Amino acid sequence: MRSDNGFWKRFLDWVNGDERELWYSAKPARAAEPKHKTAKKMTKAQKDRIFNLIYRTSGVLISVAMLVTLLLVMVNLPIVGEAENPTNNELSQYYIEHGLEDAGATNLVGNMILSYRVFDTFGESSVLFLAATAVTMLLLRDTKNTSDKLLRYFKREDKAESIVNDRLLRTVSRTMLPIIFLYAIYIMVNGHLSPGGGFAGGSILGGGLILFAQEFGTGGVKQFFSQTLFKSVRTVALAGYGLIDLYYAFMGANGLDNHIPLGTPGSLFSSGIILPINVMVGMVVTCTIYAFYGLFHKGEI
Amino acid sequence: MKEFFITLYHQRMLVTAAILFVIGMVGLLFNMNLIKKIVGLNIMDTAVYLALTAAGHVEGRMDPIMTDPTIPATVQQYINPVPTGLVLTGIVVSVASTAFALALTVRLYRIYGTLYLDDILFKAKRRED
Repeated sequence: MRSDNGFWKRFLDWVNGDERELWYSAKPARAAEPKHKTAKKMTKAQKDRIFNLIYRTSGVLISVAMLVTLLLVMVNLPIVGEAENPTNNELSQYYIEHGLEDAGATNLVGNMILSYRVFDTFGESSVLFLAATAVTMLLLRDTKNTSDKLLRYFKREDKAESIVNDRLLRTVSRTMLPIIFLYAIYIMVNGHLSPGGGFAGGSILGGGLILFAQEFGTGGVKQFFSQTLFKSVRTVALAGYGLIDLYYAFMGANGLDNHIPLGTPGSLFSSGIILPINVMVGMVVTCTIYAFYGLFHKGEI
Repeated sequence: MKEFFITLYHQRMLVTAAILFVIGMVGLLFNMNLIKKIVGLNIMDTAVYLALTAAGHVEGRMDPIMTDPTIPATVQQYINPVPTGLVLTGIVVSVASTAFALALTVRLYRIYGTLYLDDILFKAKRRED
């Protein structure tokens, strides 16, 4: 099977870095190409047309096959909404019946994602953190990322924006902003008692910051939320989340008492680690949402 | 055949999810505009959330949020909380991947001046030669 010039040899060479191309390594070198170039150019338009035809036909076929398969699968799944379905097993029963005594929040979904599966949610927050970092790397306005032409364009835009004075936007944003911020903080802090939590509250807070930036410009946001503060807030929030998470998981895995008081169920200061973790997740989400806006808008936070 | 359609009616949430998924896939396959491709990907995400939420639904039960903490919770009161948490994870990952894809698209537009995949590939090949 494994002949010396066969696919396996080439594959091993490719893995080791000796060969640059996996599939075309047997091709002759570039010097032989010009002879065939005229013959190839004649058929290039035809080739494109044939490729398009095949692509579209197979695309339609794949889509129709996908639809039929999915419909057949959906019909054969257990009927939605029945209590005896295999999805409603002893796992969800345990989460519902023991959630309050184990984690202390009346929001049972919050119990699940922030206490039983807190490591999973830490991964989510890290994904958001990494996404914000990656978008910053790609779009931040500095000498490496942007050309001189683009920098001049951004400066012109800044100047044009400082002149604009929209009365409707000003009135609406000045009336609504305090309410939006208050509501966002309410949702974030009250996440263990009602629907909401760090992700929802952080998104609303980020939306409020976007409205603020629309009215007062990114310079207005910078006066209280500079790039240094942005970096430190999201890093400290994620690191604090990670530390709490490590402590909680370490104590729980070794069967030790974690000394975190659960409080009276239903009051604001209850449910152990869920309240601080909600606030920290909210900070990370706020920074991420606002960073997306600022970076996509004009490349600055 | 009649039974088939009756089952389709009972599974209407999942059927909607399947149709949405295929709509998103067609958008992903046949649009050459990169922004429209990303929109198609998001529609596919939405279909998955709908299917997951439907999997956790139980007819006639409440959302898993206790109104009175003194009464112990029983399974007969609340729907399944696990798929809800999974949908939350999915939404977060979808937001992150969409933002990253859009940022890459912005960089491609700055270099090649177009959003169409054919033109980008053509220009990239010509630049290589």
